[in-house]
Amino acid sequence: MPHNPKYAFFPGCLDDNVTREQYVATKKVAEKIGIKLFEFPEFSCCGSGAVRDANEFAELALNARNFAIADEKDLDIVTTCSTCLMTMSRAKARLDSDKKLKSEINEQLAEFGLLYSGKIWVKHWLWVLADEINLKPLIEKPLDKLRVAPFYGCHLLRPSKFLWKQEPDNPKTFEKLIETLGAKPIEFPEKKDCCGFHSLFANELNSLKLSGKILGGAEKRADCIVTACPHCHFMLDALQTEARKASGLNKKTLLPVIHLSQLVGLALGIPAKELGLDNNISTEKLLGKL
Amino acid sequence: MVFLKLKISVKRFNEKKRGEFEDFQVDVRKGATVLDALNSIQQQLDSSLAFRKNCRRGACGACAMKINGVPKLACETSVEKELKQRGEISISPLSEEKIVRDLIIDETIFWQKINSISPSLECKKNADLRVSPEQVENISKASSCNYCGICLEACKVAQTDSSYLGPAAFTLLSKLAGDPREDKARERVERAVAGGLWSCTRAFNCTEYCPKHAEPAQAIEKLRSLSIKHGVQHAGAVHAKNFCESANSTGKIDFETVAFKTLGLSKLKQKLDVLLRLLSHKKISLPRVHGIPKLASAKKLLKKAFEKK
Repeated sequence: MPHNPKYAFFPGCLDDNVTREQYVATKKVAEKIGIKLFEFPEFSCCGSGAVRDANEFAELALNARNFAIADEKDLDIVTTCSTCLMTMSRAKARLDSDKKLKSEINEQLAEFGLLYSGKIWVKHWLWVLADEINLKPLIEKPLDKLRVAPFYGCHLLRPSKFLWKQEPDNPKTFEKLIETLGAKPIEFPEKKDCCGFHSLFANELNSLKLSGKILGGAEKRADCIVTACPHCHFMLDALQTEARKASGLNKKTLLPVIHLSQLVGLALGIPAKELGLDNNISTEKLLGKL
Repeated sequence: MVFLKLKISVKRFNEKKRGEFEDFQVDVRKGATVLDALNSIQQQLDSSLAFRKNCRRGACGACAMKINGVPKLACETSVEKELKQRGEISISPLSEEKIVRDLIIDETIFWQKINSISPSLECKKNADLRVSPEQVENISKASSCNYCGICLEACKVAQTDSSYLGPAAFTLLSKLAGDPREDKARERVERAVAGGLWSCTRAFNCTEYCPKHAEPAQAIEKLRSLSIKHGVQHAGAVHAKNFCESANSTGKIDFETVAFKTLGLSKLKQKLDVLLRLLSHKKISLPRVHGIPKLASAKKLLKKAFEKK
């Protein structure tokens, strides 16, 4: 695997507001471990599948434009959002396999001095941290008392045929990273389930039930859940009270849910406040364990 | 000719065992499938082992089961490849909540969902019934469904919402709605919306595990596009429209604005506790306009896409 510590950073739209703490923590972690994340404020939304619902070509065009911007600087894209990962990977697969479509979109991009060549890759931040960086010597505060439930969710794994790293059935990347941080990964059957975010506005109750099922599975043995996607984090953390109610779980005790970069940042010795942990809904129980 | 002596573990559900694995040792030939191994067990070791089978070539979908925890067709799964990848072979039923016996599950719910959509083509009368290759291509993936039931068992939404039609029924509706000979295309889309079309969470379990690559999740996306085109009302369609408007006006998704427009003031008023919680943790701010630099290029690309037929 080529080692390339420079990436075009694609934080995704949710990190502009509801999960701003993930953006803050990721930047801190990248700085500390020496990965250069170049930011491109002109990146648009990936479409998230919702634009595709209205018009498939609109979503493809938005992604081709983003790819061309990264392409110009010869950078692969890394994202902290699993939905952005899947949406971009799927768009790339379509553009790379349909020469007519690619050339049609490139004609439109040319008007703005852009070209999509197809040479860039799209990766998830988890894969970079687990597979491309030797984190072990950088750990300052091993998380050796922490039992962590790794929540993969959907788009980090599926549809696997579009993704750079394919581990749909028996994923182990998260577990490997958690062990590197000194913590104990907890196996739970719901780790590949769906948080329900993408039907929240259409079928709220069912979305909350899906999240509740994950919380119920994880809290039996874990001190916290770690997420790789802001959508999953929003459902499991910000709407945890509602998810518990929908699933008949105990409403009083909230299970801490933290972002991947926050977990890594804690092990790197970055203070909790600098990782935006104040913005998470319930972290008291977790911070008390450290 | 015997290729290898295989140890295979099968989860049993019968008069004596309720969900315990039983190990069998069977001889299999080179190129054997998991179905071949199960047949050998049934013929040589234990005739009471129950499983469905029929065509032995992936066409009928009868032998769907979990092989090493992954839903697959036994007749299309190579013993050798499975051993190479996982080092063992363990077999369990698709669903443990619908057990009839051993690997056989009750498929009543699956077929009720399929039958509830009137699954046959309702042909236009006195119309030109020739179908172009392009039109066939448009529905060819959806046409490859073999009704094995894997997608419904893999679907998390179907497990929590019994009214949800499920991936196979949506795939069939997508095929019918996209067939140029179909007389009731709009009604097909309306049936899909009534059956929970917008409740799909895009988890892609159906597409990942469909053994015939029918891509049910993509069929659902096609139905959603059709529902917007036909103007079939639903909160999901309103959300998709608001999402596109935000992408077009700012280049990004302004979460607060999209949520405000989709839910409306009356629904938001009922969620004051959630709003206060989000505000106190700085997760939302007042709706704001934040256009990306070089927005004009994104807007123009979107405009061209929406003009495309």
